[in-house]
Amino acid sequence: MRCKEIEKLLPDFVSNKLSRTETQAVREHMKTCARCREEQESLRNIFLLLDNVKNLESASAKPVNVLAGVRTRINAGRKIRTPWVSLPRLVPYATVSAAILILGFFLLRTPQPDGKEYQIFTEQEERMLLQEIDTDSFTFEELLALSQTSFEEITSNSLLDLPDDAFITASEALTPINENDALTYALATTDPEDVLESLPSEVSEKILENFEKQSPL
Amino acid sequence: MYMAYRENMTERTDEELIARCKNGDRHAFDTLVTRYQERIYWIIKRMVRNHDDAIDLTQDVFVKAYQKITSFREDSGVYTWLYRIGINMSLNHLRKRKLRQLLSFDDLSMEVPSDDQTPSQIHEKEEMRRLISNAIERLPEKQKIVFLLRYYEELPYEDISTILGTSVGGLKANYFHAAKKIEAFVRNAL
Ligand SMILES: [Zn+2]
Repeated sequence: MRCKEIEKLLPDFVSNKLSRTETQAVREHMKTCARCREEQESLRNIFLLLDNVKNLESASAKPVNVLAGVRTRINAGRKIRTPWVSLPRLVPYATVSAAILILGFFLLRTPQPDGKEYQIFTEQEERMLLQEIDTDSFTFEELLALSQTSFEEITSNSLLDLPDDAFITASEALTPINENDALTYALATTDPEDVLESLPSEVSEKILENFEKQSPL
Repeated sequence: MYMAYRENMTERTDEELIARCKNGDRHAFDTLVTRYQERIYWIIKRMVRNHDDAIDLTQDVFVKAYQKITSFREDSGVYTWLYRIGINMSLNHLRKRKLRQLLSFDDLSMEVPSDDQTPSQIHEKEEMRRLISNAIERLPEKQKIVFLLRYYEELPYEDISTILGTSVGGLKANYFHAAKKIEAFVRNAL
Protein backbone atom coordinates (compact mmCIF):
# COMPACT_ATOMS: atom_id res chain seq x y z
CA MET A 1 0.00 0.00 0.00
CA ARG A 2 1.07 3.55 -0.61
CA CYS A 3 1.57 6.21 2.06
CA LYS A 4 -1.77 7.85 1.25
CA GLU A 5 -3.57 4.62 2.01
CA ILE A 6 -1.49 3.87 5.08
CA GLU A 7 -1.91 7.26 6.71
CA LYS A 8 -5.68 6.92 6.66
CA LEU A 9 -5.24 3.85 8.84
CA LEU A 10 -2.84 5.44 11.30
CA PRO A 11 -5.32 6.99 13.78
CA ASP A 12 -7.06 3.64 14.14
CA PHE A 13 -3.71 1.90 14.24
CA VAL A 14 -2.54 3.86 17.27
CA SER A 15 -5.95 3.29 18.90
CA ASN A 16 -5.75 -0.44 18.24
CA LYS A 17 -8.88 -0.40 16.15
CA LEU A 18 -7.61 -2.05 12.97
CA SER A 19 -8.25 -5.57 11.82
CA ARG A 20 -5.33 -7.97 12.02
CA THR A 21 -4.58 -7.77 8.30
CA GLU A 22 -4.69 -3.97 8.32
CA THR A 23 -2.43 -3.83 11.36
CA GLN A 24 -0.02 -6.13 9.57
CA ALA A 25 -0.06 -3.97 6.45
CA VAL A 26 0.73 -0.84 8.46
CA ARG A 27 3.58 -2.56 10.29
CA GLU A 28 5.06 -3.85 7.05
CA HIS A 29 4.87 -0.43 5.45
CA MET A 30 6.50 1.31 8.38
CA LYS A 31 9.49 -0.99 8.26
CA THR A 32 10.59 0.77 5.12
CA CYS A 33 8.90 4.18 5.39
CA ALA A 34 10.36 6.68 7.82
CA ARG A 35 7.75 9.30 7.06
CA CYS A 36 4.81 7.14 8.06
CA ARG A 37 6.76 5.96 11.07
CA GLU A 38 7.14 9.54 12.23
CA GLU A 39 3.52 10.29 11.48
CA GLN A 40 2.54 7.32 13.55
CA GLU A 41 4.72 8.47 16.41
CA SER A 42 3.20 11.94 16.65
CA LEU A 43 -0.32 10.55 16.31
CA ARG A 44 0.39 8.08 19.07
CA ASN A 45 1.35 10.95 21.37
CA ILE A 46 -1.69 13.04 20.61
CA PHE A 47 -4.04 10.09 21.07
CA LEU A 48 -2.40 9.36 24.40
CA LEU A 49 -3.20 12.88 25.49
CA LEU A 50 -6.71 12.68 24.02
CA ASP A 51 -7.34 9.43 25.87
CA ASN A 52 -6.20 10.92 29.16
CA VAL A 53 -8.49 13.88 28.77
CA LYS A 54 -11.37 11.69 27.66
CA ASN A 55 -11.01 9.42 30.67
CA LEU A 56 -10.87 12.41 32.93
CA GLU A 57 -14.00 13.82 31.38
CA SER A 58 -16.00 10.65 31.63
CA ALA A 59 -14.94 10.24 35.25
CA SER A 60 -16.37 13.64 36.14
CA ALA A 61 -19.34 13.62 33.76
CA LYS A 62 -22.71 14.09 35.38
CA PRO A 63 -25.56 11.85 34.26
CA VAL A 64 -27.87 13.31 31.65
CA ASN A 65 -31.59 12.94 32.01
CA VAL A 66 -33.89 14.70 29.61
CA LEU A 67 -36.81 12.31 29.86
CA ALA A 68 -38.99 14.62 31.92
CA GLY A 69 -38.23 17.53 29.64
CA VAL A 70 -39.01 15.53 26.53
CA ARG A 71 -42.30 14.34 28.00
CA THR A 72 -43.29 17.86 28.93
CA ARG A 73 -42.54 19.15 25.48
CA ILE A 74 -44.40 16.36 23.78
CA ASN A 75 -47.39 16.79 26.04
CA ALA A 76 -47.40 20.51 25.50
CA GLY A 77 -47.62 19.78 21.79
CA ARG A 78 -44.60 21.91 21.28
CA LYS A 79 -43.89 21.94 17.61
CA ILE A 80 -40.55 22.12 15.95
CA ARG A 81 -41.23 24.89 13.53
CA THR A 82 -41.98 24.02 9.94
CA PRO A 83 -39.92 25.23 7.01
CA TRP A 84 -40.78 28.73 5.97
CA VAL A 85 -39.50 28.53 2.44
CA SER A 86 -38.73 25.62 0.18
CA LEU A 87 -35.18 24.50 -0.27
CA PRO A 88 -34.36 25.82 -3.76
CA ARG A 89 -35.20 29.32 -2.61
CA LEU A 90 -33.79 28.94 0.81
CA VAL A 91 -30.07 28.73 0.28
CA PRO A 92 -29.56 31.87 -1.78
CA TYR A 93 -32.27 33.62 0.18
CA ALA A 94 -30.69 32.87 3.50
CA THR A 95 -27.29 33.98 2.30
CA VAL A 96 -28.42 37.12 0.63
CA SER A 97 -30.83 38.02 3.38
CA ALA A 98 -28.14 37.58 5.96
CA ALA A 99 -26.00 39.89 3.92
CA ILE A 100 -28.64 42.53 3.63
CA LEU A 101 -29.45 42.18 7.27
CA ILE A 102 -25.86 42.75 8.18
CA LEU A 103 -25.67 45.76 5.99
CA GLY A 104 -28.99 46.85 7.39
CA PHE A 105 -27.60 46.58 10.84
CA PHE A 106 -24.69 48.62 9.72
CA LEU A 107 -26.92 51.32 8.41
CA LEU A 108 -28.96 51.31 11.56
CA ARG A 109 -25.98 52.63 13.38
CA THR A 110 -25.44 55.41 10.90
CA PRO A 111 -27.75 58.37 11.44
CA GLN A 112 -28.89 59.86 8.15
CA PRO A 113 -28.33 63.53 7.29
CA ASP A 114 -31.90 64.24 8.33
CA GLY A 115 -31.27 62.60 11.66
CA LYS A 116 -33.37 59.52 10.95
CA GLU A 117 -32.01 56.04 11.10
CA TYR A 118 -32.03 53.78 8.11
CA GLN A 119 -33.59 50.38 8.46
CA ILE A 120 -33.86 47.81 5.73
CA PHE A 121 -35.58 45.00 7.56
CA THR A 122 -38.55 45.21 9.81
CA GLU A 123 -38.31 43.58 13.18
CA GLN A 124 -40.62 40.85 12.00
CA GLU A 125 -38.44 40.11 9.00
CA GLU A 126 -35.40 39.92 11.21
CA ARG A 127 -37.14 37.45 13.42
CA MET A 128 -38.12 35.38 10.42
CA LEU A 129 -34.54 35.31 9.24
CA LEU A 130 -33.36 33.94 12.50
CA GLN A 131 -36.20 31.48 12.75
CA GLU A 132 -35.51 27.83 12.93
CA ILE A 133 -35.16 26.09 9.62
CA ASP A 134 -36.46 22.56 9.38
CA THR A 135 -33.27 20.60 9.14
CA ASP A 136 -35.03 17.74 7.41
CA SER A 137 -35.19 19.65 4.18
CA PHE A 138 -31.41 19.72 3.94
CA THR A 139 -28.80 17.19 3.10
CA PHE A 140 -25.83 17.16 5.37
CA GLU A 141 -23.66 18.91 2.80
CA GLU A 142 -26.20 21.67 2.35
CA LEU A 143 -26.47 22.27 6.06
CA LEU A 144 -22.73 22.32 6.28
CA ALA A 145 -22.56 24.87 3.49
CA LEU A 146 -25.16 27.02 5.18
CA SER A 147 -23.41 26.96 8.49
CA GLN A 148 -20.16 27.87 6.82
CA THR A 149 -21.34 30.68 4.60
CA SER A 150 -18.28 32.80 4.48
CA PHE A 151 -18.30 36.40 5.43
CA GLU A 152 -16.72 37.44 2.15
CA GLU A 153 -19.50 35.71 0.29
CA ILE A 154 -22.06 37.54 2.33
CA THR A 155 -20.51 40.95 1.95
CA SER A 156 -19.84 40.72 -1.77
CA ASN A 157 -23.33 39.41 -2.47
CA SER A 158 -24.86 42.05 -0.34
CA LEU A 159 -23.57 44.97 -2.29
CA LEU A 160 -25.31 43.93 -5.47
CA ASP A 161 -28.49 42.89 -3.81
CA LEU A 162 -29.13 46.16 -2.14
CA PRO A 163 -31.67 48.47 -3.68
CA ASP A 164 -30.05 51.57 -5.16
CA ASP A 165 -30.91 53.97 -2.40
CA ALA A 166 -29.70 51.53 0.20
CA PHE A 167 -26.49 51.08 -1.71
CA ILE A 168 -25.87 54.80 -1.72
CA THR A 169 -26.52 54.96 1.98
CA ALA A 170 -24.25 51.99 2.49
CA SER A 171 -21.44 53.61 0.57
CA GLU A 172 -21.95 56.78 2.54
CA ALA A 173 -21.82 54.85 5.73
CA LEU A 174 -18.82 52.83 4.77
CA THR A 175 -16.58 55.23 3.01
CA PRO A 176 -15.74 58.89 2.89
CA ILE A 177 -15.31 58.55 -0.87
CA ASN A 178 -17.84 59.81 -3.37
CA GLU A 179 -20.73 57.38 -3.34
CA ASN A 180 -21.42 57.86 -7.03
CA ASP A 181 -18.11 56.28 -7.92
CA ALA A 182 -18.86 53.29 -5.81
CA LEU A 183 -22.32 52.93 -7.23
CA THR A 184 -21.15 53.25 -10.81
CA TYR A 185 -18.61 50.57 -10.29
CA ALA A 186 -21.08 48.32 -8.63
CA LEU A 187 -23.67 48.66 -11.33
CA ALA A 188 -21.20 48.29 -14.15
CA THR A 189 -20.54 44.71 -13.30
CA THR A 190 -22.67 41.72 -12.48
CA ASP A 191 -20.17 39.54 -10.68
CA PRO A 192 -20.24 40.31 -6.96
CA GLU A 193 -16.59 39.37 -6.65
CA ASP A 194 -15.79 41.99 -9.25
CA VAL A 195 -17.67 44.64 -7.36
CA LEU A 196 -15.30 44.66 -4.47
CA GLU A 197 -12.34 44.27 -6.77
CA SER A 198 -13.30 47.08 -9.08
CA LEU A 199 -14.01 49.55 -6.35
CA PRO A 200 -11.19 51.95 -5.64
CA SER A 201 -8.95 50.09 -3.26
CA GLU A 202 -9.53 52.61 -0.47
CA VAL A 203 -13.24 51.95 -0.78
CA SER A 204 -13.09 48.19 -0.84
CA GLU A 205 -10.53 48.12 1.91
CA LYS A 206 -12.66 50.38 4.01
CA ILE A 207 -15.69 48.22 3.40
CA LEU A 208 -13.89 45.05 4.31
CA GLU A 209 -12.28 46.65 7.30
CA ASN A 210 -15.62 47.91 8.56
CA PHE A 211 -17.22 44.56 8.04
CA GLU A 212 -14.40 42.85 9.83
CA LYS A 213 -14.91 45.13 12.78
CA GLN A 214 -18.53 44.09 12.83
CA SER A 215 -17.74 40.44 12.46
CA PRO A 216 -16.70 38.46 15.48
CA LEU A 217 -15.18 35.83 13.24
CA MET B 1 -46.85 -4.68 37.79
CA TYR B 2 -45.79 -1.36 36.29
CA MET B 3 -42.19 -1.89 37.32
CA ALA B 4 -42.12 -5.32 35.79
CA TYR B 5 -43.44 -3.87 32.57
CA ARG B 6 -40.80 -1.16 32.57
CA GLU B 7 -38.01 -3.56 33.27
CA ASN B 8 -39.16 -5.70 30.43
CA MET B 9 -38.84 -2.74 28.08
CA THR B 10 -35.19 -2.14 28.74
CA GLU B 11 -34.40 -5.57 27.38
CA ARG B 12 -36.16 -4.98 24.09
CA THR B 13 -34.16 -4.40 20.95
CA ASP B 14 -34.33 -1.05 19.18
CA GLU B 15 -36.40 -2.62 16.44
CA GLU B 16 -38.99 -3.90 18.87
CA LEU B 17 -39.14 -0.54 20.58
CA ILE B 18 -39.58 1.28 17.29
CA ALA B 19 -42.39 -1.02 16.27
CA ARG B 20 -44.10 -0.33 19.60
CA CYS B 21 -43.50 3.42 19.27
CA LYS B 22 -45.18 3.38 15.91
CA ASN B 23 -48.20 1.90 17.63
CA GLY B 24 -48.22 4.80 20.04
CA ASP B 25 -46.51 3.09 22.99
CA ARG B 26 -45.13 5.93 25.09
CA HIS B 27 -43.21 3.63 27.43
CA ALA B 28 -41.32 2.20 24.49
CA PHE B 29 -40.43 5.71 23.43
CA ASP B 30 -39.29 6.60 26.95
CA THR B 31 -37.02 3.59 26.86
CA LEU B 32 -35.45 4.84 23.64
CA VAL B 33 -34.87 8.24 25.22
CA THR B 34 -33.26 6.67 28.27
CA ARG B 35 -31.13 4.42 26.11
CA TYR B 36 -29.70 7.12 23.85
CA GLN B 37 -29.93 10.44 25.68
CA GLU B 38 -26.35 10.34 26.94
CA ARG B 39 -24.87 9.70 23.50
CA ILE B 40 -27.01 12.31 21.81
CA TYR B 41 -26.29 14.83 24.53
CA TRP B 42 -22.53 14.36 24.26
CA ILE B 43 -22.25 14.69 20.51
CA ILE B 44 -24.33 17.86 20.69
CA LYS B 45 -22.41 19.18 23.70
CA ARG B 46 -19.14 18.71 21.86
CA MET B 47 -20.50 20.56 18.89
CA VAL B 48 -22.15 23.52 20.57
CA ARG B 49 -19.87 23.58 23.64
CA ASN B 50 -22.53 24.74 26.03
CA HIS B 51 -24.37 22.53 28.52
CA ASP B 52 -27.70 24.34 28.60
CA ASP B 53 -27.95 24.55 24.83
CA ALA B 54 -26.98 20.89 24.58
CA ILE B 55 -29.71 19.82 27.00
CA ASP B 56 -32.22 21.93 25.13
CA LEU B 57 -31.21 20.53 21.76
CA THR B 58 -31.15 16.96 23.08
CA GLN B 59 -34.76 17.39 24.11
CA ASP B 60 -35.56 18.81 20.69
CA VAL B 61 -33.98 15.78 19.05
CA PHE B 62 -36.24 13.37 20.91
CA VAL B 63 -39.33 15.49 20.44
CA LYS B 64 -38.61 15.55 16.75
CA ALA B 65 -37.96 11.81 16.71
CA TYR B 66 -41.27 11.29 18.46
CA GLN B 67 -43.09 13.40 15.91
CA LYS B 68 -41.43 11.71 12.98
CA ILE B 69 -41.28 8.17 14.23
CA THR B 70 -43.84 6.89 11.75
CA SER B 71 -41.68 8.07 8.86
CA PHE B 72 -38.54 6.42 10.24
CA ARG B 73 -37.46 3.73 7.82
CA GLU B 74 -35.77 0.86 9.51
CA ASP B 75 -33.07 0.35 6.89
CA SER B 76 -30.61 1.96 9.31
CA GLY B 77 -30.25 1.78 13.06
CA VAL B 78 -32.35 4.09 15.16
CA TYR B 79 -29.28 5.59 16.77
CA THR B 80 -27.77 6.63 13.43
CA TRP B 81 -31.07 8.36 12.78
CA LEU B 82 -30.94 10.10 16.16
CA TYR B 83 -27.33 11.12 15.60
CA ARG B 84 -28.26 12.61 12.28
CA ILE B 85 -31.08 14.64 13.77
CA GLY B 86 -28.75 15.75 16.56
CA ILE B 87 -25.98 16.80 14.20
CA ASN B 88 -28.36 18.63 11.91
CA MET B 89 -29.89 20.47 14.81
CA SER B 90 -26.46 21.37 16.16
CA LEU B 91 -25.34 22.70 12.78
CA ASN B 92 -28.52 24.67 12.54
CA HIS B 93 -28.01 26.00 16.03
CA LEU B 94 -24.42 27.01 15.27
CA ARG B 95 -25.54 28.69 12.10
CA LYS B 96 -28.12 30.73 13.95
CA ARG B 97 -25.63 31.58 16.64
CA LYS B 98 -23.20 32.77 13.98
CA LEU B 99 -25.87 34.88 12.35
CA ARG B 100 -26.73 36.44 15.67
CA GLN B 101 -23.10 37.14 16.33
CA LEU B 102 -22.66 38.70 12.93
CA LEU B 103 -25.55 40.92 13.78
CA SER B 104 -24.19 41.53 17.25
CA PHE B 105 -27.48 40.55 18.81
CA ASP B 106 -25.49 38.58 21.30
CA ASP B 107 -23.38 40.12 23.94
CA LEU B 108 -19.73 40.33 23.03
CA SER B 109 -18.78 37.97 25.81
CA MET B 110 -20.88 35.29 24.13
CA GLU B 111 -18.99 35.45 20.88
CA VAL B 112 -16.54 32.71 21.56
CA PRO B 113 -18.65 29.83 22.77
CA SER B 114 -17.41 29.61 26.27
CA ASP B 115 -16.59 26.15 27.34
CA ASP B 116 -17.62 25.54 30.91
CA GLN B 117 -15.17 27.42 33.01
CA THR B 118 -14.04 26.66 36.50
CA PRO B 119 -11.86 29.64 37.33
CA SER B 120 -11.13 28.50 40.87
CA GLN B 121 -9.57 25.25 39.82
CA ILE B 122 -7.55 25.93 36.73
CA HIS B 123 -4.89 23.35 37.01
CA GLU B 124 -2.97 21.37 34.50
CA LYS B 125 -5.67 18.85 33.72
CA GLU B 126 -8.23 21.53 33.14
CA GLU B 127 -5.78 23.35 30.91
CA MET B 128 -5.31 20.21 28.87
CA ARG B 129 -9.02 19.64 28.56
CA ARG B 130 -9.52 23.16 27.31
CA LEU B 131 -6.63 22.90 24.93
CA ILE B 132 -8.09 19.78 23.34
CA SER B 133 -11.53 21.34 23.23
CA ASN B 134 -10.14 24.38 21.46
CA ALA B 135 -8.17 22.27 19.03
CA ILE B 136 -11.33 20.40 18.06
CA GLU B 137 -13.30 23.61 17.81
CA ARG B 138 -10.87 24.87 15.18
CA LEU B 139 -11.33 21.93 12.86
CA PRO B 140 -13.26 22.40 9.64
CA GLU B 141 -16.82 21.44 10.46
CA LYS B 142 -16.91 18.19 8.57
CA GLN B 143 -13.61 16.95 9.98
CA LYS B 144 -14.84 17.96 13.41
CA ILE B 145 -18.01 15.93 13.12
CA VAL B 146 -16.17 12.91 11.76
CA PHE B 147 -13.66 13.17 14.57
CA LEU B 148 -16.36 13.42 17.25
CA LEU B 149 -18.27 10.46 15.86
CA ARG B 150 -15.21 8.26 15.43
CA TYR B 151 -13.10 9.16 18.43
CA TYR B 152 -15.65 10.02 21.12
CA GLU B 153 -18.66 8.04 19.96
CA GLU B 154 -16.49 5.21 18.65
CA LEU B 155 -18.90 4.55 15.81
CA PRO B 156 -17.94 2.18 13.01
CA TYR B 157 -17.22 3.99 9.74
CA GLU B 158 -20.25 2.30 8.19
CA ASP B 159 -22.52 4.06 10.69
CA ILE B 160 -20.80 7.39 10.20
CA SER B 161 -21.20 6.90 6.49
CA THR B 162 -24.94 6.36 7.01
CA ILE B 163 -25.20 9.45 9.18
CA LEU B 164 -23.25 11.80 6.95
CA GLY B 165 -23.75 10.23 3.54
CA THR B 166 -20.02 10.13 2.81
CA SER B 167 -17.87 7.24 1.60
CA VAL B 168 -15.90 5.27 4.16
CA GLY B 169 -12.62 6.07 2.40
CA GLY B 170 -13.35 9.76 2.58
CA LEU B 171 -14.23 9.48 6.26
CA LYS B 172 -10.92 7.80 7.08
CA ALA B 173 -9.08 10.60 5.34
CA ASN B 174 -11.16 13.16 7.27
CA TYR B 175 -10.33 11.42 10.53
CA PHE B 176 -6.61 11.34 9.78
CA HIS B 177 -6.50 15.02 8.83
CA ALA B 178 -8.52 15.98 11.89
CA ALA B 179 -6.12 14.10 14.17
CA LYS B 180 -3.15 15.72 12.48
CA LYS B 181 -4.57 19.20 12.91
CA ILE B 182 -5.32 18.58 16.56
CA GLU B 183 -1.77 17.34 17.00
CA ALA B 184 -0.32 20.43 15.33
CA PHE B 185 -2.51 22.76 17.37
CA VAL B 186 -1.54 21.16 20.64
CA ARG B 187 2.15 21.02 19.72
CA ASN B 188 2.15 24.74 18.90
CA ALA B 189 0.35 25.59 22.09
CA LEU B 190 2.65 23.70 24.41
ZN1 LIG C 1 4.71 5.76 4.08
